Amino acid sequence: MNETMIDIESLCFKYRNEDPDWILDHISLHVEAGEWLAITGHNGSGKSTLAKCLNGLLVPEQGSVKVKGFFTSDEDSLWEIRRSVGMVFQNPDNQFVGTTVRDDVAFGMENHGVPREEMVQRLSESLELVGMSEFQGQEPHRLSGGQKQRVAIAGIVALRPSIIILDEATSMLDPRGKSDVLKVMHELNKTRGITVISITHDLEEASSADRMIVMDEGRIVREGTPIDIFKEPEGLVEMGLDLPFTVKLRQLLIEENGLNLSEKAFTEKELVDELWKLQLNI
Amino acid sequence: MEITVKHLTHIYQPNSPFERLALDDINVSIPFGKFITIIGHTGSGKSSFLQHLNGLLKPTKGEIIIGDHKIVADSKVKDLKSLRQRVGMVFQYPEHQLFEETVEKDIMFGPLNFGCTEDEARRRAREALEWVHLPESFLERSPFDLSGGQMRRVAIAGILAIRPEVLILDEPTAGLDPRGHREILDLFQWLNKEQGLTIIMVTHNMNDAALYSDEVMVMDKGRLVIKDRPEIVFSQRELLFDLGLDIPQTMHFLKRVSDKFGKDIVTPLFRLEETAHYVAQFLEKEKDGP
Ligand SMILES: Nc1ncnc2c1ncn2[C@@H]1O[C@H](COP(=O)(O)OP(=O)(O)OP(=O)(O)O)[C@@H](O)[C@H]1O
Ligand SMILES: Nc1ncnc2c1ncn2[C@@H]1O[C@H](COP(=O)(O)OP(=O)(O)OP(=O)(O)O)[C@@H](O)[C@H]1O
Ligand SMILES: [Mg+2]
Ligand SMILES: [Mg+2]
Repeated sequence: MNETMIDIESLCFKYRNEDPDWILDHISLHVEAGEWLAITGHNGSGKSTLAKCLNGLLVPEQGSVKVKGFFTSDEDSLWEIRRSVGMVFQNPDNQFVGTTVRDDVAFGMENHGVPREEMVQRLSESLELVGMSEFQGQEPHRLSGGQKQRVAIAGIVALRPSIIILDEATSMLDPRGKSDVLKVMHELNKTRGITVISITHDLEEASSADRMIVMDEGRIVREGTPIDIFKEPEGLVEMGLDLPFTVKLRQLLIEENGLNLSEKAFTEKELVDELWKLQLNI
Repeated sequence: MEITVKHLTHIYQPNSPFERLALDDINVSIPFGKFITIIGHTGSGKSSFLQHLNGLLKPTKGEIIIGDHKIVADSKVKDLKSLRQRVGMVFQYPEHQLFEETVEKDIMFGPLNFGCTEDEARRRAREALEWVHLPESFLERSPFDLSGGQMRRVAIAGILAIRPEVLILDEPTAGLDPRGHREILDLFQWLNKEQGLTIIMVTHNMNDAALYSDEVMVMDKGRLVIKDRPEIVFSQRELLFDLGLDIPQTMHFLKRVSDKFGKDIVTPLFRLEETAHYVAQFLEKEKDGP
């Protein structure tokens, strides 16, 4: 049995009393250590709100959120919770505190009581990981949009939290930057067992998760492996979502072009292999 | 209103240890009514380039001519206000552009600033909100108490309400859900095709660059590397990979098919339907044998 990292029981939350509906509506969710969980859902479905409930920035109005056994509603536990959960916000500007990139990454570590020598080492290591070493002395607000996202990620990686939450953290990266950062994250997930929760509208990115949840108007409406979720595409499009490229292409090949393909192929490679077999058979 | 950029160079924090050459001798001309996308790796100068087009940044060297406006180093831009009315820009981070107490006031700000009556500004705010698919109930909300994608939509609405002739968009679909993404791009396409707006859009999404633009500009380290039709730009896969970029998914797929079948498919296709049809016909031909 894996250790439980996050345990949410029937969480309800709203920002304003006058809101007619819950923003988070009876959410229950368990996340185990070492898992990679993707969260997707339409704009305003509650993903960022849920993320903020996980590190105690917001507390439940009903129900409970437990992180590594600590309740976020217990103020004495907040320190422990914030140490465990590293969050990369949707807009990195909200996250910068230092006047230089170096100070900014160091500041978080200082707060976590990382010894000086180790700080120096983690600093250069994490900036290296995101390819931002040459910008150490730059002011964060003078960086380009994607550079800001990279620095925000480095700041969290340097803290080595047990859980990393990425809230659209790669939305402004160029294609290679994006795949590099995701590779780094997958490696941290595999080698250091860091639990990753990735909030994303990118279905190709979500497809690489161990498990995926789909949110709709404050509720979790689908949960399962990406393959399972996209196997039953009904309703996803109505919820404002889309299907991965391979799934859409496969559907077109079957429905519009009469090809006799199975519904199994999920990756591009699998689909091409099926096309190959199809051609050999006849 | 044609846009002509000559020898545009921009250096940030010149003569300091942080001096950075962000734009390096860019020459380009963009005819009126085109849909242009700009792609390039992080820090290649895309946003810096855009910010010159409505006078937010001044060139260190070179000049920008937009209709009868001229932006050059070391002198004030004449009629900056009328330039900003004609050239509207949506920022990379919507937070940088929202500032009023309510969404309605925020969207009305531009039109009012450029001389609309209250009534007209209010009418445009409602219309723009509808264009970006937000319900009217959002008018009374604070723009800062919105989700990321909702803020993005409000920021876009605020610029559309000004009715610019040139629309400058810095990664306008980042943070939008898939439906919003498609709807907003279709809106831009409609504004371009039916309303004649010139659109210049930065994007990291190669599929969008391929599908929506008349021409793609590729930037690298402050330089303009290529400006050409999508079919030509995205046929240069090695070059794009070297620049940290990519090709559209349809092209990736066709490449995989070619490798598997030992054929050389070079046709650049970007639409899913076309790609499916092409692959089906290709299989048909393969079946018949060489
Ligand atoms: N500070 C706030 N005050 C009041 N309402 C808010 C606040 N922040 C968000 N909301 C509302 O709560 C709902 C959920 O917002 P949230 O930011 O969690 O959505 P999201 O799923 O992250 O969306 P996106 O994909 O656009 O980032 C939205 O309808 C939003 O308008
Ligand atoms: N205000 C500033 N002061 C100093 N340097 C800056 C400033 N803004 C940007 N730069 C630098 O200029 C270069 C170009 O930045 P720009 O924002 O134009 O890149 P970009 O292509 O838009 O990148 P991204 O895709 O990450 O948004 C970068 O190296 C960046 O660090
Ligand atoms: Mg969000
Ligand atoms: Mg930029």
